[in-house]
Amino acid sequence: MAISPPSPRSRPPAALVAGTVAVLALVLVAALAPLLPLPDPDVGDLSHRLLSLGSPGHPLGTDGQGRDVLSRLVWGTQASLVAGLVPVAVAGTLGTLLGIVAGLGGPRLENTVMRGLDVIFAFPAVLLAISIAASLGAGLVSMLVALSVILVPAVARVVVTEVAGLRELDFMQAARASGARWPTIARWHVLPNILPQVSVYCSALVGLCVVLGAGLSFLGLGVAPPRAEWGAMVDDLRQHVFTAPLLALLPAAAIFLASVVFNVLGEGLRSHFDVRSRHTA
Amino acid sequence: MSELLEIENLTVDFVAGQRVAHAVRGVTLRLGAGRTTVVLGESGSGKSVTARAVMGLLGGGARVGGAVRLGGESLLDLNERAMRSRRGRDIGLVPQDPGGSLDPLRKVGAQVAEVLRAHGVLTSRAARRERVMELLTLAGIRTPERVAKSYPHELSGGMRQRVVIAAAIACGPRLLIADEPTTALDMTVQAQILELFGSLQRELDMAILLVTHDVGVARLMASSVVVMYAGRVVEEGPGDRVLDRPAHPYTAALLGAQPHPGVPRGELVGLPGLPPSATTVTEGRCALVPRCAHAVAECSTTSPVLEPVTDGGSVACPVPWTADERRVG
Amino acid sequence: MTRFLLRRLALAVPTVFGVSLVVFVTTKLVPGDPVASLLGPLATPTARQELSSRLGLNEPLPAQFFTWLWNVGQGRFGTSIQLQRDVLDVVWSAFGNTALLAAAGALIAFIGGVALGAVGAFSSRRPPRWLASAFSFLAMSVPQYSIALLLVVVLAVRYRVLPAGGMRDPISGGGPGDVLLHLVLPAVAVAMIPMGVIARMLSAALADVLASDHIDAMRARGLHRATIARHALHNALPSLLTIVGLQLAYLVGGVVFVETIFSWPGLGHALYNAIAARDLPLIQGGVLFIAVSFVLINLVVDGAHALIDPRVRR
Repeated sequence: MAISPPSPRSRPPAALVAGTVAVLALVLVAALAPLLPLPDPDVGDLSHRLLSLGSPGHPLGTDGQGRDVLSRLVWGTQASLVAGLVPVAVAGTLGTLLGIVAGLGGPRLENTVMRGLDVIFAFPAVLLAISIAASLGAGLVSMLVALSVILVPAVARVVVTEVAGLRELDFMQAARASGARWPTIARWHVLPNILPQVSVYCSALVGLCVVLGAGLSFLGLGVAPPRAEWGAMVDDLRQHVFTAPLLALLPAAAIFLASVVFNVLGEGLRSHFDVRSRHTA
Repeated sequence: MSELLEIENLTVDFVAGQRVAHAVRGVTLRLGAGRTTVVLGESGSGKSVTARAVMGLLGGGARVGGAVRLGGESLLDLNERAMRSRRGRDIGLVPQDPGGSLDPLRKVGAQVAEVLRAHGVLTSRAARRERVMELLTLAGIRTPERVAKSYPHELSGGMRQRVVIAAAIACGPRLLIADEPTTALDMTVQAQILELFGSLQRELDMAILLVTHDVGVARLMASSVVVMYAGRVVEEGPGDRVLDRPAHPYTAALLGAQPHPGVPRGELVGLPGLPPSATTVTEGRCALVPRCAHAVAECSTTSPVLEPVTDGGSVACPVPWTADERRVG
Repeated sequence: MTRFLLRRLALAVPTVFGVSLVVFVTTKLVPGDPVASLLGPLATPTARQELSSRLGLNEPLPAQFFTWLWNVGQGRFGTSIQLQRDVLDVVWSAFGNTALLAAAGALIAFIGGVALGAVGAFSSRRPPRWLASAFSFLAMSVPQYSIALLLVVVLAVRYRVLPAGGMRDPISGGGPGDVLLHLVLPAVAVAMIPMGVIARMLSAALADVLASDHIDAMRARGLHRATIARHALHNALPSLLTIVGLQLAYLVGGVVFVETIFSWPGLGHALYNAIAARDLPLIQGGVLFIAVSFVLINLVVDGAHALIDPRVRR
């Protein structure tokens, strides 16, 4: 017989509060970048190359082309948010659709889709993203496509599992027995029941996506060079790691921070909605 | 007069932040060596928590008060190390779910042998093996060699329960605690397992504390019965007296006993409403008040204490059914 | 057990086929003309035509695919356009280096992850549990290239304890000890995320096991804490295996970043260069090699799973 102490009142966990505040702060920085009194992030003064931290006018120094690092870090927030959120939203939608169709379309369709997903899972996700991004040519769009493609199978698999769990429940059987067609069942019976779990799972992917997006840019496959982007900054500044070692760490730390922030939010959502995370991507 | 197991005014509170749940609110219970007591009650009555308190298995969130003595030794004063050496050696536990209480990844023979090793009963591997076969046979398994080499999922529910019993009696405990030992089994197997408890008790001379919600099980086992409600003992006494001639309205309801038509006590077939939650304060009144049809003014102002009943045992009710009333029914 | 393994093996065949199809299709998407990049802009149409047919590029796509698959099946991956060397040769030598780095990373991730996860689940005091959980959370969030750069800056540039790049010292051209020295930083960098994930998942799996009825029954039988911890780990092994299998794939993906930062002469590095040069045969060969090795690794994981858990062996 299970003996459990009384459950504490359900108030949002600290991680959820902290994560939400921090993500909002990131969004605010990205949105306010054009309004802040910062030097142009893309134009440098070659006579002020590689200034160290705390230089007058350049609190975080300048890069190899004399561009202000603080300004580039602030502007880079935009690319980072796009890389984190867009693929997750796209893959979340496509993966949910695919998963529902596979989950409701009968065992043969489900089997085919699952086998197909197994094929994708045989590739290390990062490698697949790199090949796709490389195939499509460097650029923001191909980076977003690559990240979306590698996330779709992960989301779809979670959805298929969730739908399979729902299928056996009485209300689903009743809906089918009453002659409802599958789009109706999907819209009114399946979607509302899997949405919380799927959203929580997707929120956990944002941090990963920020890291991978910056990683692709780091390899020269993401955002095109003059635009300020943290991954590209890491690649750029690491050339000067022997002359200005601390400089290269700044964008690296920014990516880490963004990743932590999104992971804290994801963790907060997970514990608040009490979704068991058995899925590992 | 010192009994084998003495539980004295035991209280158990579970604390989580600001909230406190009173699972056991002052239970006193005695069990003589080689005897059987059945603790009867609905889920949430505190009967399982009482059993686990005796084992010292309540975990960090529990606040335990009162005293538990086994053979005169106070168990609540023992440190974890000493308590561990008592568990399995002096006190055996047969838990509810026979499938769940065996490790699915190891052969069951090894799991029984492990208890012998943990308590240093038999040091040689061969001796332990032999003893495991004896224990499995004792637990009513006819093919101990084959069963010992099986994984839990290869055995039936009844068979697994026999293995669990073999592990519980491995070190010849003085006290066997059985927590709803037959709830997960089907009727015919239930009867066999209960019979096994009886024969083991005679053979090994151990006391049995059996926790159940099932009146049928209580009838089969009981040499004495303790009825619990909302963390308190409401009635106790010899099995035949309590189960055939209940003195407490709650016991009567539990038994589904019909009151005598001529006696103006209202209908007692089932109680309306639910038991109070563990967080409800029931001090200074009888916990049954909102559900009891016979409550008098006194029930809401004083906590009933156990008073002796003329034909055996005692009851905590200011207006108990008298022996006369019960005999009529 | 044999039947279980045979069935798994049979299931792997269509996966391998699908994997090769995906590899083929993906690389066909690469923009640009491999013939042009091979011959340069000044080539005559005849020369182009000749090379095109020699490479089989005039055949319809399905025919190209099956020809390619037939050759690959016999170990003929073709010639690297960029390096003018046999693809299998290039892939094989680079694969060895990557495998070394990945294995070292996996070892660190596994040992660190299990240790952190065990502390998180077993420690009876709060501070160590909290520290283990916080550290694994941070490890899980840190990008490979960020930690790689931090390690370079602190240990290679600032304190000069360990080499910052390459696989061997170019001057001494060192032996195994030298390789080991060069291996430390990239291996740590590549291990961080998998270590964090393994620690967190193991900790959760152990918490589940510790709350299960059979562990409770062990406590009731008076087993020692250490014995119970051992059995709990045993019961968490199947989950641990699944996580490790998945994380190994992630780890090998991360190797690409780390190989770039530390100039480690591995497959990720080679692939990256091949993609930049649109070296089709090399890309196909390299990606296929990695994907198929993962199908094999998953087979091993499944087999190990069956060894541990008698219930799945049927």
